[in-house]
Amino acid sequence: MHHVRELTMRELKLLLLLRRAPYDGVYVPEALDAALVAAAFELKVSILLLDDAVFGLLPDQRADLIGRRTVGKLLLALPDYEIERVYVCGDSLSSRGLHAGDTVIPVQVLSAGEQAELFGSHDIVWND
Amino acid sequence: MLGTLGKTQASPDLGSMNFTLIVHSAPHSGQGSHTALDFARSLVGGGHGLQRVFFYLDGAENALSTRVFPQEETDVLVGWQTLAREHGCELAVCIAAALRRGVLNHEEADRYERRAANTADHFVIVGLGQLIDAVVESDQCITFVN
Repeated sequence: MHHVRELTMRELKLLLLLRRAPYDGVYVPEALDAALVAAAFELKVSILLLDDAVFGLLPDQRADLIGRRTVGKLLLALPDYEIERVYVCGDSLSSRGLHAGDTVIPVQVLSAGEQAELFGSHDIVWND
Repeated sequence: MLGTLGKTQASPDLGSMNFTLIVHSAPHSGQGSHTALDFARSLVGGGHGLQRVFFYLDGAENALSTRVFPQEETDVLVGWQTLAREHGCELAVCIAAALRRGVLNHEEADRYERRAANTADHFVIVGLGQLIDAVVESDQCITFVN
């Protein structure tokens, strides 16, 4: 097990799973805060949106009207923190009548099998 | 318990591993903090290392000193404190999550001019960087949500 520590932070790959609706409490912004800190520590961070979290990808969110941070804007800022790999569950999108073309940032749509591969290709998985 | 994760590079040597636990659940929302406490006790009982439990999101509420547990319910606060006292396990609470939920140490109570500090003994308020450190330094990291 000790060879794990020989990996530098730069080589560690972290996958953040987001499952909650964007304005269900402040869980999504808080989880994204943790992802930004991880990226600042030079971990390679990817994000996978599942279930109601996919609503956070819709454009023209106005969370200022309900006194919240706008999740769409937080997602839009991810590349500034060198988080450029954002994936979305295809079934979650389609079952909500959404399409990858509707999203505020470019996302890669994954099947269930591809999501399993994504899990396997990361060293650490966090969820909200 | 949901969401686990191990580092895929970890060898299958299960003799003794160093764990980090992340708790996202408050004592009375879901079963996450109880399950995490049970798991933590099993880890140290089984000879594994548990250097740090990191409390994030609603998990920050585990650090409240002012919560009173009904007699027939497990007092997870005493459980966490016992773990810290007997096994030297650090109980780390994210400062941003703590402030949002009204969990303040003396320094933050003074800074924000609140009347009381309510962080229980053995809990330390830290930055998120400590979470990253703990994750990177441990062999296994497991998250407990609701």
